[in-house]
Amino acid sequence: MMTRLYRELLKIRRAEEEVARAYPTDRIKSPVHLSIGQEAVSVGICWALNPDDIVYGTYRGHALYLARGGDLREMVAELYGKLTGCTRGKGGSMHLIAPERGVMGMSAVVGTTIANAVGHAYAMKVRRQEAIVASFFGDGATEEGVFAESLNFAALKKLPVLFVCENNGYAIHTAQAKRQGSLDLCAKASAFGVPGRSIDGSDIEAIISTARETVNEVRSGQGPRFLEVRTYRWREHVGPNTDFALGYRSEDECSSWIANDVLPRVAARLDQDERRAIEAEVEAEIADAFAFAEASPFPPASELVRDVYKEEAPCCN
Amino acid sequence: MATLVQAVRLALHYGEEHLGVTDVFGEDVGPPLGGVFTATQGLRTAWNSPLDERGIIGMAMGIAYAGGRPVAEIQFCDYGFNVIDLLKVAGNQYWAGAGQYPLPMVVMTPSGSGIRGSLYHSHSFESWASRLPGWKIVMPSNALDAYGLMLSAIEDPNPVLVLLPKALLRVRGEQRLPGEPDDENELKERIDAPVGEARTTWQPRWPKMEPYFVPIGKASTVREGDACTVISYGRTLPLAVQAADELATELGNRAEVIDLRSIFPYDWKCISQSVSKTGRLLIVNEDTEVTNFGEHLLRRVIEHHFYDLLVRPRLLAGKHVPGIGLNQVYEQNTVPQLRHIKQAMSEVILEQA
Ligand SMILES: Cc1ncc(C[n+]2csc(CCOP(=O)(O)OP(=O)(O)O)c2C)c(N)n1
Ligand SMILES: [Mg+2]
Repeated sequence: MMTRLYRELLKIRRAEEEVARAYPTDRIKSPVHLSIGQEAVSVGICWALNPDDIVYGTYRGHALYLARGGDLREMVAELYGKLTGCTRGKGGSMHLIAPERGVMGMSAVVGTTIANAVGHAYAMKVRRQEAIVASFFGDGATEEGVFAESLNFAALKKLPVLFVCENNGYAIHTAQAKRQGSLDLCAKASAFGVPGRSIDGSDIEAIISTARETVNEVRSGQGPRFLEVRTYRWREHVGPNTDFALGYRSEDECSSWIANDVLPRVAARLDQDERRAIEAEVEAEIADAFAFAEASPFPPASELVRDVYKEEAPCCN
Repeated sequence: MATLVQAVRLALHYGEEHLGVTDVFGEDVGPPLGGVFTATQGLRTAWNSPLDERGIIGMAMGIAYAGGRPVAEIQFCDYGFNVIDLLKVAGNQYWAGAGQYPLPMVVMTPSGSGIRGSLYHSHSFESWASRLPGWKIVMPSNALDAYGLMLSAIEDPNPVLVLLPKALLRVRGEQRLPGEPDDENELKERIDAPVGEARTTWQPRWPKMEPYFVPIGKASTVREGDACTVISYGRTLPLAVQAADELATELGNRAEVIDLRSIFPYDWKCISQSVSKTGRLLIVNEDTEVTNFGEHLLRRVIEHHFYDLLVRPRLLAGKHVPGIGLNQVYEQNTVPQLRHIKQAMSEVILEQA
């Protein structure tokens, strides 16, 4: 287990570090919302999911996409705005999809995918499918009306949906305490009839075991569940850098999370050779993905009007 | 000279000090960020709202009803789609309440393409907004107009939507704002928050700004000419001016370029007089073409000036695609660029009457 866990966490961390490193060259055309520091949330929750389960996420979605086995080449190419990207250079980093992996989409519009996840779960329940839906979103998204609307309906219909709030304490530069009268997200969920649990995002084993337990409840028809995973974004809200100079949070606050980083603790449990082998594999995979993105073509102008509608002919001719 | 975004900030400051602005609010509008484009940095009445667009517009209405003068921000107009219902209600209320509910509120929001923001940081909003009776809608293309339109918006007793062209926010004006220091470094030092430790205790040292009102509903003729009339606003306006200048040199024909500035109410007199003079019309904006606010102007020009027109009037707008794709190939083929504008303008000028 530790081997695979390390590989998944490392792949996300290193891929995003490479994104950050390449960023100043301007070859990456997309705004990027990095998950560095938050990888354990996606990896730990997805650990408890089955291959045919469905996930919906947000613009901070590299980690979720990769944790579900989304193709790294297609992700990096998408960030480069290339034709070979997962949305052919249309959506960029904020709109990754991999339907074949159950990654139904991420959205730059905060909150939108929460309701989509609920609708998806409703349809699956009606069709008596076994799979469940996990909906990932930030602490800020819980302030949008759609959060309340979605929980209400999910509880009403006892839908097989797992709400996962990645609480990194901030929406852009505004701390949760400056936006919410009550910080108890689980209590809010439970007020709608959706039982919640809060987990320390630096404890990968706690995330996995709680996720397993909770996913079992959802899968066995007990209705929706809510998980708050307390985590922390190390880099700036959008972009490759740190942002401690902006004065909305202190470097000390971040340091304590870095000191609790999941990665070295997982790494320490592997033997040296195994660890080196994984690291070499991951580096090779990342180098390959960037080389693929570099070598891929930009979309031709004709791509612009492709896929506006399902049928090929524009409709007013 | 002040940038467009600095001009907005200076206008809001003037509004706080002299025009009764009580609340400048929205997501990350208050300290420490002062807005993602810094439009609200250092303002006395600025505060952070929860992440909730419907809450923002709904609360602005409530604040205005209670006698306040709110200026609310929607962080990107793309999130205005989340709150189109409350925007609709805000436009209706005065009429629907038989004049008993004045609603003096301002909503400002960055609009349009130009920052490589991909799908949901690049939409235009003026055509949607033009379908909201009860609202006034303005869109400056330079710092001085931004200052003057914002003051007029604040003073206006109706809801006013100020669309800020994202691509031009950091562009410096060519004219000094009244009260702005001569030295732009001095301005920066006075009103732009520093980074680092210093930010936590920073206070702006506002220059003593003076009033300057650009009346809502008044266009500005930025190039005079008789070869054709070009109506534009926002990001495409400076491009239209550049195209007109280049064509004046290359062809010797001078286009008349009108910066509409107000989408509603718009300056029909200015348009009508110019079209009567030139008989040729090109409208340029970047909103999607079906259906586009420019089509309303076209319709009115055709109805009133059919017999004055020498050649077909035209609209150059954004393509009817769902959004602006990340790759520049998408963006540059979706919304008019300089070369498209120049091409269209020369066609309108050179077509045989
Ligand atoms: C509907 C909507 N409103 C505003 C924004 C601008 N915006 C982008 S990210 C963000 C903060 C989101 O915070 P949170 O949900 O906590 O997610 P995090 O970025 O911390 O992962 C905001 C306000 C948006 N993208 N969509
Ligand atoms: Mg957050």
